[in-house]
Amino acid sequence: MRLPPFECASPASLEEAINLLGQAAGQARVLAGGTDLLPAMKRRGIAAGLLVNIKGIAGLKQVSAREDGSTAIGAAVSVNEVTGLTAWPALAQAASRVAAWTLRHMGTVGGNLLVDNRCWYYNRSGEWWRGKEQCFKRGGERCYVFPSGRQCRAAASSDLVPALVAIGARVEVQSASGSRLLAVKDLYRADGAAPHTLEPGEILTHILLPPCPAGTGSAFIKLARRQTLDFALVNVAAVISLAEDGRTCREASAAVSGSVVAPTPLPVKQLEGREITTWLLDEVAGEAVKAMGFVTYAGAMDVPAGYRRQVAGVLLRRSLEQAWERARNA
Amino acid sequence: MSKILVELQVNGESHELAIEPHRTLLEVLRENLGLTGAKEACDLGECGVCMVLMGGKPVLSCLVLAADAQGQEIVTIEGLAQGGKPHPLQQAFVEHGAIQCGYCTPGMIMTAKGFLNSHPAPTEEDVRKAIGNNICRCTGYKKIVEAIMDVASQNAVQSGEELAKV
Repeated sequence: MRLPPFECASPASLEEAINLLGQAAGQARVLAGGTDLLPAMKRRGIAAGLLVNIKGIAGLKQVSAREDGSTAIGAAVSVNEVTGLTAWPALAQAASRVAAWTLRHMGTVGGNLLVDNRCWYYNRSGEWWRGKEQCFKRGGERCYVFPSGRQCRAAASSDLVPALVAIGARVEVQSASGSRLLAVKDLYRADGAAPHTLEPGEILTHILLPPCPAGTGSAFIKLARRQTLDFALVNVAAVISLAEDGRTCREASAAVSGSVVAPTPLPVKQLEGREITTWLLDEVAGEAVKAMGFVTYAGAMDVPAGYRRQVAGVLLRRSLEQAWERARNA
Repeated sequence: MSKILVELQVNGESHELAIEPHRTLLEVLRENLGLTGAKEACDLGECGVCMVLMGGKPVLSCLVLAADAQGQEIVTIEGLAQGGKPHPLQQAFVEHGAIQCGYCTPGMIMTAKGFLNSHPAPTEEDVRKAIGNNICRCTGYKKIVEAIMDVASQNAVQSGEELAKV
């Protein structure tokens, strides 16, 4: 499969990149690592007349400390670099499970946050789709995975996002009209055909990690069929902060991706103000996983929704326990 | 679509080419430069047979735009042997029988080369994960992993000897 023809621009500054995107009126796409965009263009799933290559913009390739204590990761920083950020173990764990080592130094953090939703049908080649009725994600009016569905249920497949949502990270987005900050979870909507809330002309520039408070532990677990180079069946991340007594939960959060259309926070607030015990974790995880809502198996249709929901509960329970252990040793 | 001028540094030689912006590094290596060691198979970054080194790191050349490879030193499998003598990795693959049909071999060796550049003393598990992006359908991975581990341990011995000299 070869790429369709397009023009390519390599701006040296963010302003120039934003101008180019603005002028292209929705016909341009941002190119960073290219590991998700270029295969999608080869499959004729995504079309673009202009690619704006942001890898030459120095400010987007750095990890820096901000005055408010947060860590700003440039969108074009490679995923492999994030495996070395130790402040939040959940994030380093998630980064080390993205694709494979070779793809991780090509792929970028911004690209992983904006990775396209996956589907067994959508991800087939342009050849396969030729002459067939197109699905919602290809601009048509039907879903091959859920034939009675009225919307696309392709699966949110980023490994980093659940960790970032649980941590409470934010992203910085810039456009010609200025910059805005939003919580990572607000980058997504529950529509597999248009899963991101970025407007045309906007560039995700930085991911902002809050400082890790004292007595805080975090953990991430990915279930996939292979240890490398596989998209998740289920990803779960959890964060637990302990009060000064070292026993009572001060704050807790968790999130899931892989079997959902948009990365979803899981409600584990019931832990807060209570002394953590293993049976309390069992109880809370069992309840919290119900908030997953619609469970999609579009990413891999041979793994049914019931199993995915059950395994999400197990992974949530395990990641809470790991986060708790780390919090006690923090 | 208008062509653009690109200067590529491949295996120590400079090439000036007029190419269309949508052409990948793999296409240019194979079709313009005649370097057919890197293979074209899935063309989607899943199989690893197109692996080459760019700035010392292994990259999937099917997912790199040729224009984007400007100013970076590119090494393909053709550039590994020095003075007619196979690279230690090539030698080890032959000695361990880590080749059968040979189709995945250039990609495997380039991944291994890039991995050992940055991880001189890996464990077997590290090696297995590093070649997770390279698919072999003949031999299984055992002999390939053994060949890479062999070179890694030779490296360890060599760097030990160098340290002993100092």
